[in-house]
Formats: sequence, structure tokens, C-alpha cells
Amino acid sequence: GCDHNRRLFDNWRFADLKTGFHRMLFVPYSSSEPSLVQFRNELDRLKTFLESTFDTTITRKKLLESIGLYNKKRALLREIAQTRLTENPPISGAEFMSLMHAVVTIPVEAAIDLLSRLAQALSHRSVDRPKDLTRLFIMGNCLEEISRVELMEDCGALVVADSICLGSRYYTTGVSRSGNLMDNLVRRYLKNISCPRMMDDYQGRMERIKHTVDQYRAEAIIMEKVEFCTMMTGESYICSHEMHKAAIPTITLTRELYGGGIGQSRTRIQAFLEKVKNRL
Amino acid sequence: MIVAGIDIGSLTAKAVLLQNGQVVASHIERVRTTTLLSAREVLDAVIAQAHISPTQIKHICATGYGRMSIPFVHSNISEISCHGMGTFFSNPSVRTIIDIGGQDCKVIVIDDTGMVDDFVMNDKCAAGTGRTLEIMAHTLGIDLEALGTFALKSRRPLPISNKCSIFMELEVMQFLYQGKKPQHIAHGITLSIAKRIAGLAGKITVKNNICISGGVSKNRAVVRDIEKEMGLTFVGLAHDPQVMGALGAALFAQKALSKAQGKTNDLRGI
Repeated sequence: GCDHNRRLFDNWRFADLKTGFHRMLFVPYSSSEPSLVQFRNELDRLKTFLESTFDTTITRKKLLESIGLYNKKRALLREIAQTRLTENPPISGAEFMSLMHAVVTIPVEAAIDLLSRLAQALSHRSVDRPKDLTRLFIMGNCLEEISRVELMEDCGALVVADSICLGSRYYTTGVSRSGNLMDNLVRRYLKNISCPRMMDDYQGRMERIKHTVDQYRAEAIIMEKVEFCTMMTGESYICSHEMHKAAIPTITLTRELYGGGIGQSRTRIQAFLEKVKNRL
Repeated sequence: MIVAGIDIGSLTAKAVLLQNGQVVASHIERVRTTTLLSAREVLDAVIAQAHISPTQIKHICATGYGRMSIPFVHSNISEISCHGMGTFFSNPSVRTIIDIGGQDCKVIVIDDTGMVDDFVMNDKCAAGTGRTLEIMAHTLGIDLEALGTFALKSRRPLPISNKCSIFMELEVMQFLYQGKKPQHIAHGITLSIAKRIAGLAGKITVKNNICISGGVSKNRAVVRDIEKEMGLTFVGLAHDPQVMGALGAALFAQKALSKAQGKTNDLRGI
């Protein structure tokens, strides 16, 4: 979604790294009809490239089967995410992020098996926690550091919901299995997932955030921004103003990806949570 | 009832003892090699000052960057909340605190109970903090304590960047090589810090009355330049502005102890 990734891809090509293959998928920034057509063209070209590179044919039957598997995985993740609606969720934010790391890394069949067993185990799990933890909603761009979420929870919070790529944006919607499957893939990625890179849906995102905060009874929002990320800079500005109107406390934390500054972060997070507790 | 607040900062450690809601002792010390050593030293100093025994202290609250590493404290609160509460106790009319410490600066807005309403802190760079003044004083060849008085002699500050302490030092050295008057350089430094603080304060909505705390508040030139830059006059504090964090921590210790004794459920305000 950002220039950093695009330029990184250029560097890979220039360095001619022997990775087997490399290809850039250009994703539009809008979900308008012309954008859907453009993205469909991109997916068609990707399909042709994969078929020729791996000497295979991507048939409708194979696509249907794969969509079914990923829909199943996402459904299980939604089921587990919903356990966080409860007063004392059986899974913490850090544990949930660890889970996300695992299921996006391993083959989808193994992920389904893992998630099925975990959903079963969580139905019997009870965790002993302090009663006054602040229920947090987190949002951001590239938030994948488990230690970051652990830090937030260590300061007296529990992350119960999110709007991040390695979180709800990954599993909230599936792909329709009826009609044209390629068009369905296009719609799922452009129309049904909205992240700060998408230019024409900030109002929709704000409404969804407010709805999720309300649904999960989150008491505050932490917005995580990787240094120099222009997408999240704009998004956090809009979000802080919109949430202020809705009387939802927010703070924006800027960090380096896998960088240090834990002491400074801890001070900000703890002060923010103390401020939130004061309002309640 | 005796309680203590300890503030372990990046350059100095502070402690305050409260007895029945009154400050009976306070101490400031340069930090040692470990947080534990610093904490023990300042706590021992206030205990000696108040002529009490350690067992008489019923609750110790820690704050500052070193707050997590002190095993003998009962609780810890962020320095932002502690500075808010400490300054409110010292002057109940205060609603905004500009705190300039050793390596960070913050602007804190509090409500009418001393609890934090909003805050903003500097980013990673320590430009505009006590550390900057230490480096600049050394470069100018004067004592840190004399820097403020020296800068007050000048009415023609030289323009100095406020983005990075290292670049600031290079600019100061360049001015010295050019034979510029040191007091004008010193004034340029204090003005540069004032501009940085004013920029930080511009990120939130400040409310009157406004005070300044932290070690840098003792540099009269920085105080003068911030007042000029922001068009305001700071209100005074009844206690040493450098111990506001430790004072706030002691107040939170008092409230926690009261709650534990069943005397109040309210941790808000005083």
C-alpha cells in the first residue's frame, strides 16, 4: 500500500535476488467501478503469471476449494474474536496477535485444525485478571509486534478489538462462492476491506470503528503509527477528531518498526490509561 | 500517616515525604548507576531530614522512567499524572503545566481536581531539555547553574536551530570560532529551547493558569523566553518546582493508603 514497499520491490528486482519469482500486484486506492475493473485486470494477469510460472491451471474448481478453505479459516477467527465480547475474555490481545502470526504463516489446512482446537479449548478457559483493566481498541498500519500489545496490556489494559491488517481486517469478511469467483475476489479486497490506504471510505471506517468500540465496550482507542507512514498520519488525525466528537478517548503513538523506546512508550501508554480511568 | 513519593528521572532523583498531607521533607540528588541506588539514596535522605524511621512510611509510590525497577515501592504512577497532581497541590489555580526535565519535556493540562485531561510529550530527541543545556554550558565553558544568568545579560540572541542537540552544539561551536559574544550565544540557546516548548504546547489546548516545573524551570532565561514566546506569565508554586513529580507520587501514595484503609474510594483529585 505504500511507497516504501513499492521501492523495496524495485530494489529486489535490481538486486536480482534468487527468490524463485517476484511480482508486484498493483492495487487501486479506490473502490469505484473503474477501480474494480482495473483490479480485475491485475488479478487476471497475476493468474496467468502463476499458471505459466508453476506450469499449472487455476480452474474454477480449485479456486472454489481454496476460497472455501480460507472462508472457513476466517470464520473460525471470527468465532474466536467474538469471545472477546465477554466481560473477562478467555484470550488476551497479545495472545490473539500471536495466534494471527501463526495462522497467516502456516498452510491453511493446518491453520483450520489449529483454530478448531483452540476454539474448543477457549470455551472452557477462564483467566484470572485484575478487575479494573481498561478495555482497549487498537488500530494502525503495520502493527505486528506482539511485544507492543504486551506492553499496552502490561500497563493495565486488555485489547478486545482492533482495526489492523493482522487482525480484524484479515478475517471480518470472506469471499462469495456464487457467481464469478474472480469478481468476488476483487470485491472482497477492494469493497469489503477498508484500510487507511483506501481514499474514498474514511467516513465508513470511522463509523465501523465507533460501532466496534461500542459493540466490544472498548473504553479507549490507541492508534499506532509507524514513523514516516503518511497513510496513518492522515488517518490518525481524522480519527482523533471524529472520536473526540464521539467522546471516545484516543492517543496516537509513533514508533519505529521493531524499534526501541519502550520506556517512552510505557510512560505515554500508562499516562493515557490513567487519564481514561479518571474519566470513568 | 507518613507516605513517600520517589521520582527517578534521567538526570536527577527526587523524593518527598508527606505527613498528614503536609510536605515534611524533600531531596534532589544526581542519579546513580542503578535505579535502585538512586531510589535508596533519595529516600534515605528524606527519612534523615524528617527524623523518622523507615518503618513509619506506610506507602511509597514511584514515578519517572525508573519507576518500574524499584522493588521496595508499593505502587507506580506515570510522571505525567504525578506532575499534574503535584503542581495542583502546590497551586490549586494551575490548569496547565510545562515540565522540562533532564531528557524530556511535556505539556500537561489538568482538571479542577488535579487529574490529567490531556498531555503531549516531545518525541525521541532530547533537544529542548535539561540535557541540551548541560551540553551547551559545557561547550560555552560555563557552569550549568550560571547559564541562565549569563543569557539574561543579552538582548541580541543569535539564531540557533532547535531540532537536534548535536547540531545545536555544532552551531554554538561555529559561533565561538567566529568570535561571537558568548552571552548572545547563550541567549540564542535559551530562545531556541523556548521556541521548541512553544511548538510543543501548540499541539494541545492549554488552559490558564500555567506554571513551569522540572529542573529547567530554575533557568531564569529559559523561563523569560518561554513567557515571551507564548505571551504568558507563569504562576508560582509553593514548593520546589523540581520535585513536583515526587510530590504528586506522594499524594497518590496518600490516596492509595486511604483507600486501602477504607477511608475513601475516590482516587480522583485531592
